Amino acid sequence: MKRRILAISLVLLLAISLAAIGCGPKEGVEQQAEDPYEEYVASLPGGSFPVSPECFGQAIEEGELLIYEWPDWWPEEVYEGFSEEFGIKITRDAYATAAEVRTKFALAPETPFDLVCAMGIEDVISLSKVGAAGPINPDWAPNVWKYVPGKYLELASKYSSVAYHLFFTAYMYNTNYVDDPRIPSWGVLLEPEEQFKGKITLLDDQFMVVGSALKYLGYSFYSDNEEELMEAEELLMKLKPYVMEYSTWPLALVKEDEALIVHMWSGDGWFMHDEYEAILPVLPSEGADLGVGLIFHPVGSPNPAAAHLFVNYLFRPEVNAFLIEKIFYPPTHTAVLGLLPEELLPVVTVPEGYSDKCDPFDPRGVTGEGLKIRTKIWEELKS
Amino acid sequence: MKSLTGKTLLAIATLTYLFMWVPAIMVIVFSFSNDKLGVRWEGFTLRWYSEIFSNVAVRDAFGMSLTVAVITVVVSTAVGTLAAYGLYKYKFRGREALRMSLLLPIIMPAVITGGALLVFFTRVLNVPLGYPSILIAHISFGTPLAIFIILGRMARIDWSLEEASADLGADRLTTWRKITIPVLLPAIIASAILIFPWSFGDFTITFFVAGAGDTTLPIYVFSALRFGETAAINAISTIFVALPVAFLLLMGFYKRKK
Amino acid sequence: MFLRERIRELLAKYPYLPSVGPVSIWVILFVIAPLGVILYFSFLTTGDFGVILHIFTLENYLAMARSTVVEVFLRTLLFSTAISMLCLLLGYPLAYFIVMYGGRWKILLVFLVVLPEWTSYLIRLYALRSIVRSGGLINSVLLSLGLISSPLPLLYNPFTVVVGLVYGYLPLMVLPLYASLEGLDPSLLEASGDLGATPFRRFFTVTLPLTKGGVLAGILLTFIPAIGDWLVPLLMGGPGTLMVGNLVFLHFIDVGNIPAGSAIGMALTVIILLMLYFCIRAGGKEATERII
Repeated sequence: MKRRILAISLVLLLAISLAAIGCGPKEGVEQQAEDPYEEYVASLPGGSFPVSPECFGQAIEEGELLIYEWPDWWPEEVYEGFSEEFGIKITRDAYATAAEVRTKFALAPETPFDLVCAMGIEDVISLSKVGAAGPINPDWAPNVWKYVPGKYLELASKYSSVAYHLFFTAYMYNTNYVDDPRIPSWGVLLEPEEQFKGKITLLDDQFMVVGSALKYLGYSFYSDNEEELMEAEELLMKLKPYVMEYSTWPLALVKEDEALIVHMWSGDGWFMHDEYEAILPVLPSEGADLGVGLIFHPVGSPNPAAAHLFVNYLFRPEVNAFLIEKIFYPPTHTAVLGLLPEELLPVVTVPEGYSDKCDPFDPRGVTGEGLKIRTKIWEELKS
Repeated sequence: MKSLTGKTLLAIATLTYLFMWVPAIMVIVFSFSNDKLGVRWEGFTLRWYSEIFSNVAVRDAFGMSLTVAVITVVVSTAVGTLAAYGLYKYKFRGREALRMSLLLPIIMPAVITGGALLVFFTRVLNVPLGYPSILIAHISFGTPLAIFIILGRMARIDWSLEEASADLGADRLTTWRKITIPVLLPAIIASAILIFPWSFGDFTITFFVAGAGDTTLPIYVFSALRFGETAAINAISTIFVALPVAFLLLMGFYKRKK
Repeated sequence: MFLRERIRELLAKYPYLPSVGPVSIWVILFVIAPLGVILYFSFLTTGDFGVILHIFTLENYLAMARSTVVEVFLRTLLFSTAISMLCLLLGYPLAYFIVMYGGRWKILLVFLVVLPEWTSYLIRLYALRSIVRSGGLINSVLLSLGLISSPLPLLYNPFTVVVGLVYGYLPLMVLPLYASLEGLDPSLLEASGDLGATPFRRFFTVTLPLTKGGVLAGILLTFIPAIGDWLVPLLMGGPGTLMVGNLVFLHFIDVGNIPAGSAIGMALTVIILLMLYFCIRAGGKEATERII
């Protein structure tokens, strides 16, 4: 018995040592290949700027990237292209609402994601306030500083977020069933015709829902005035029997002609239209919010260099253009519009004067009284 | 079954069985249907199965669920057997209190346990969420389950064998190994049979305490549900149904062999 | 060695330590403590952006008196009572059938009832939802039979939630009933029959009272999980069908107000514990021993 144990241990030891030798660094091989950083710089397409050598080196070493995102949204090619070029493995985790993200980070600010994609301004401010913001280094993502206008760049330094598109909260309707003369007013969604009972979906987001009602009534999207909010509440409570579901992505219901008037962000509306022609998005005539789509870099990121490298990659003009083409939102990247097909331009440019009708982010709507009242309304709406 | 009572009961029973099983059967049927939404029959296909087997995310999620379930079963039955033994054999202060507290994880709603553990881990213990938090949550449910099942069994066991063994001079460990465990084995296996599928299929508690990037199979299904791609979910669901059925069949064969 | 001596002493004085010790520590650390934390948090309040302020306040509990919360609690209790009764109505005949007419197939029949519990609850609800929705089986059948002209909106209403809950918890009702019925002495039933009682009468005067324990256990096993359920309303209910579990989730995750969610969670816990306490009192000590 004892001899057997001895024999087995020796064999194991031998096997382990062989494996260790086999997996060890192959000296000399690296020196023969070209310096990978130089290769990277040389192969960059025109108009793209390289990250700093130390960022590159560290990113390759990190070898991994953990992204928290809206599932099934960005095209796979974006991730695959990055993985193939740099050999960095991307793992993606999904969330259903921005609220989930805010709460997760509020409870544990060092939650180890490298990037959180698709956040709005109120989200990143919230995340920063709980201490979840990680440092962004301009040398590590020069494409961003080269191509994003100054007014969005301060979001990077203040809230660790890179702005990559604009958005408006809007709605879409099924052209086969809906023929409302009030289009494109918010009223089509918020005071719908009788026959659409149970055929409406609203976004699963308290700020968007309440804000839309406020805009329809002629107030600010971010109002914290109690009277105005009470009016919005009344309106929404009357709408409640018409609502089938609160969902941020009711594509399945849309495709089956079950959800006929849908609360949705502008670009996602075009995304769904691309999948299902009958559904058509509109920009509400009363205006909406001035949303900015952001990528957030948390402080708990285990692979910060890889995160920066990815963002830099995302802001190469042709990559960014490809992304915009698939998500249908107005880009912040200043060199992208020229690269897009002509028929897409009306969709990804903000119509003249529309921004003036929209309200830029105002913290009053998401803090203090504004938040308290909205929470109460939201609870009543959902119950 | 000639009586009217019998006939009525048969009718009610059949309807009830149908009610319980038709949804699951339909899901299995449609998992072989060539319909993207997974709700109609559009011809036989195995594409959904090939899709989920080649999908890395699904495989990882399956692996995670499996790992968690196995570890949960092992720890829960081990700790549970010990604890059940102690609770049965000894009287001590706090015995009732312990028994009552063991009930808590089972009767508390999953949202509350999940929420409590989430807050406890992140705010009090400052422990990062991940495999450990999920395992702790699962074991906290599995152990009481094991205890109650084994305890229930213990009342019907003839303990004289154990006494005899001790009288004959065998030390505690030997008695434990040769008599106690084999005698309790059916109950231990019974608890394992209940804990494994619970752990594998749990959604709510796992959802609350999962860490960044941790996806178990139920969490994957939930995400997929929210975002609509349902045909593949049929295939995954079939796996969930097939596992216990296969296990049952195995048990049946095993029993028959004996 | 000194240490070994001490350990031996300890084991002699407290022989139950090694067996019961580990689980006790575990329970205190991972069951009692988290609940205690929730209790503590229910008395706190939040600042902006979900920051928790350690200021003692009763506002979360007082705020629960608002109409939405009361409505949700009442609705939850109503649903749970309804489904418990429905489960009893369906489950008792089923259990009776298995015991009295099952014969050789008894075990198999029981397994057929229990098996769904071994798959994931989420998956089962998904399956139910699949056949209830507009494009699903029920509507397809009704449409093809010409009984309806357009799909019925079966999803997203309170009735569907009740059906879903029954579907989810019926097996838990059948099991204790089966155990109870199986344990009945058939000679008792025969005797009452010989004494001239009709089957009907026999059931109500003999069978039912004798299976009281099983009925109580079944009601408990369906009612208590039902009041904590949140998946059925989430997947199949719509606005207006929310239960307390959803409310807890809403405040915990959606709104990020941990204290408010904790308070609601605590209230639900208290209700469950009270219920359990009264049932144990009513059922007597043997029922407790039977269940636990």
